[in-house]
Amino acid sequence: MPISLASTSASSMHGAVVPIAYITGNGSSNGVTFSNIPQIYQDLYLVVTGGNSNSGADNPILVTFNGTYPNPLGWTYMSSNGSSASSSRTTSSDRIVFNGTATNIATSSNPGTYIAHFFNYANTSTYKTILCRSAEDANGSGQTALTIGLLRSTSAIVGFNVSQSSGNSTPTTTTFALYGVRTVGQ
Amino acid sequence: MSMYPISKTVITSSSSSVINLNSIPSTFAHLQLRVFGQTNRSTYGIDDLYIYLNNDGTASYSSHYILGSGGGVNSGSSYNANYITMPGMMASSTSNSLIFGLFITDILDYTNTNKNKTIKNMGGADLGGTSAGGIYGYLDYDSGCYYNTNVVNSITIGSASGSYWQPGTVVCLYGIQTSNATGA
Repeated sequence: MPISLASTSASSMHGAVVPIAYITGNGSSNGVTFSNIPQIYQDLYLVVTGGNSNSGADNPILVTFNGTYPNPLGWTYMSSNGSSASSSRTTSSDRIVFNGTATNIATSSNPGTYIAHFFNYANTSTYKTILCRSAEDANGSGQTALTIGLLRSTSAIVGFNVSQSSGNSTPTTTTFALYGVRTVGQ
Repeated sequence: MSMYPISKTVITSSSSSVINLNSIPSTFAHLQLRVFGQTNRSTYGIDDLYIYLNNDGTASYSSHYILGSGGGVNSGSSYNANYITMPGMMASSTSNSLIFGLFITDILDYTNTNKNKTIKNMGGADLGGTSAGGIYGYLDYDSGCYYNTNVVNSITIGSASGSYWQPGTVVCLYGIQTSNATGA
């Protein structure tokens, strides 16, 4: 299936990554919510840099969609902590957990990072697949992970919520940046 | 750093096991390929992919990967290969025709004629708890090298099982520009 790109040129094009929203943590256990997401991009791209509000607690990021907690959601992840690697899966959940952060080391001054890609989020013909790369390092401990999540719904993603795994509040030092990724014709 | 769309291709018929992007402009610093897709591999819910450059399917590639199955992790490599392997990277319609996989490919410094070309791929698919051929999903993170200093002007992505790409597959190619002043 050959596809020629000869007619394209950079000079006539606009940047692909468009900032949509930037939110800081609100100190609430409900986390932060993005709603009324524009349906005009090819993909969404979420960048989270943040810490944990409660020592001793793990802090994966949880995502729910469209203002509801659809069940089932599921995800598969693999992670490495510097000495071993592992992979696991959860099915029939009401959330997707972006696994990988180590216990109690993602502090406000030494944050964990999450970059999540929501591909083809506005289409209404397929389920939605989300890829997240997460990492943190604390000078002697740390973890890096890759998570693939599945939202078994053909509805477009118009909003989602991000909160702490254990019900702890989202620190005010945590930042959330949402981008749209344009493609040709958008 | 700025990213610009180069092309978007939507597969509308199940008729080919390869997607070939040709005549890629040489006006960017790096390339990024973003694919949301599905093949029609039978029996198994996941398909392995391969990638090669410049229509060169000769023994000019090596690669390493780490693969998560949800039950464990394994790693592998190849060398003197005809392509870079991307194991476990794509959903097939066998499990559920509504489940699509995805991957992101970065090809750095693709116009530099003093370097071989390094590629990074990451992606996979989760089948939502349903097994197809004993598979529930995979995650792949891999890198490879194309031992050739030519400018990259084409990318070929294929199904390792020879299965056809399914309608609804979306292939978007981006160019990433850099700054001469900062090199950022």
